[in-house]
Amino acid sequence: MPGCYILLKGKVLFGNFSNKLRLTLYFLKNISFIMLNDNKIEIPYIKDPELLNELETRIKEFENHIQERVLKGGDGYVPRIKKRDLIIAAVINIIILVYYIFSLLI
Amino acid sequence: MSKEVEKEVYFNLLPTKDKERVWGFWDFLAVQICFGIAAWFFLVGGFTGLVLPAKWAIPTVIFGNQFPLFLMSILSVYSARYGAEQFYMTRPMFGSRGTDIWILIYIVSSYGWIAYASFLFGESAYKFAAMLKLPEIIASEVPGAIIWAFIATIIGMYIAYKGPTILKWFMRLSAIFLIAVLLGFIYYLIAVTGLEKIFALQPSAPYTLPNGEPDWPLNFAAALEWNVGLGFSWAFWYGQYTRLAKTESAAYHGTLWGWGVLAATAGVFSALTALIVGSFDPTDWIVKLGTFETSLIGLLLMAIANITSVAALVYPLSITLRSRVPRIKWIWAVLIVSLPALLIENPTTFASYNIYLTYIALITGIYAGVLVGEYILTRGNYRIRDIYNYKGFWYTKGFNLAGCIAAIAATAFYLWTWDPVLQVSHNGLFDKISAGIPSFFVAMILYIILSKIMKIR
Repeated sequence: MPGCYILLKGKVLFGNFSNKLRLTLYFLKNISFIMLNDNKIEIPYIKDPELLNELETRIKEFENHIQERVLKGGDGYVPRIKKRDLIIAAVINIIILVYYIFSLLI
Repeated sequence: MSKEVEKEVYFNLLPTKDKERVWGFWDFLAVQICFGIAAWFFLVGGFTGLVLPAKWAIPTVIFGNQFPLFLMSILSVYSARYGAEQFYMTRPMFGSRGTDIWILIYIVSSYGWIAYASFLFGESAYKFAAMLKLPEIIASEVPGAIIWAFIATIIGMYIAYKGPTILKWFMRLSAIFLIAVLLGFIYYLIAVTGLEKIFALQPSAPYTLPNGEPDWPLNFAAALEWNVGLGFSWAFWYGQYTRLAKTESAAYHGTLWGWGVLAATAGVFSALTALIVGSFDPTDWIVKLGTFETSLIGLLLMAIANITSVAALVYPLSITLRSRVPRIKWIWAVLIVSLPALLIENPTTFASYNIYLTYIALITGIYAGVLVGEYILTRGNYRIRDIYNYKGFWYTKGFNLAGCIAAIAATAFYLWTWDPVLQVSHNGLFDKISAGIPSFFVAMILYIILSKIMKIR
């Protein structure tokens, strides 16, 4: 995100109108790219550079191969939960609920 | 700190890739049953058997533990999808700093679990010592049980301190013991006492009306609340396990049934023993079994199961603390998450397990409510970078006001409905609706409404 502000404050705010328009359109079109590439992982309590590097590598790998799919409702690292899982759980738990209510009534 | 532990902390801070996932449905089921069947289930069942007869106690234990798990079962999906630890996945709902507060609540509230498991060991150990006619100091409840409880905590801490290999070995041993204990006890219950006789027994300490008759609506609500508290308590523990799941379905079903109806059989067993001996402590029933040998074996098995439970609690707590504050040495992490538990290892706290459970129902119910509300809004779809970046879900100075306000309002609703200390319902609704499950819904609905109003989602 810092890059976006530089882009906006440095060029858009002080450039001429066509530049402002062009750069605004560029920013809007590439917002996800800018976010992904500018937003370095920052965890104040982790200082180990090896760990941060490994974290960055894994996150980039996820962003390149999985992120888009997840945002569209697809699988993450592993296959996504199916509707039938929720239905099975709901049916069994409703049976348990009915059993509980029934036991209190008798 | 051993290399093994260093590796685990390191591993805990990174998203788990698909190739690193090791747990399928059956693995989950086995591990959750072993972790689930311990002091917490034995004691909640015991308290239920003190206020309800068998025909109501059994469905209350099963429903009370299973239904909250069902309501929040979608929590298992968050960590399975991104391979991230539980509290990374709490950031979208409460903000980064808000999540730090939840980590603190998680650690502090867990002192109780450690204390109860240790003291149940203490209870069994001092009775065992009395059988052997050992000196009074270790063969009486005070100070004997306290001394034994301290020993259990220290041994559990030591096992956790030694790292994952020795812990896994103890868990496996414990699993065999637990299964042996339960099967043996259930056989005794059916063969020696007989189900017909147990079902005819009345509870020994129900809440009563001024005329001395049992106040059944209050007994139903109270027993349900204790079991709901245990059911919701798993909300903090999903991520540590489900980030290792091979599929989201395995994570979902493994935790739902393993912590739920299957582990609840331990609660059913102790509810029945409580009816027989009139004590919430299942070790009293073991002692009354009669023969020296059976009592000896039963108490020994109970002791080992509880020490392993302490270790199984201390280890993930220490890993979470060490992951959040890496500069703390491993030994200090272990001491911080377990040593304060010694202060509450006494008979008074032990007898107040039901009050502790209502607080747990309050804390974990609202936490789960907000997390489920978030799933309804987002279907758990995030940018992984935002999850890991400390400023990724920063909101207002590190707090998601929607989550925080929903949690505070649901807390107020809970305390208005049931005051765990005074044991009264200020709005008179407790014996009609109980408090944990309604507070879960209050937190969930409020979070959804506030997120929409504040345009957070």
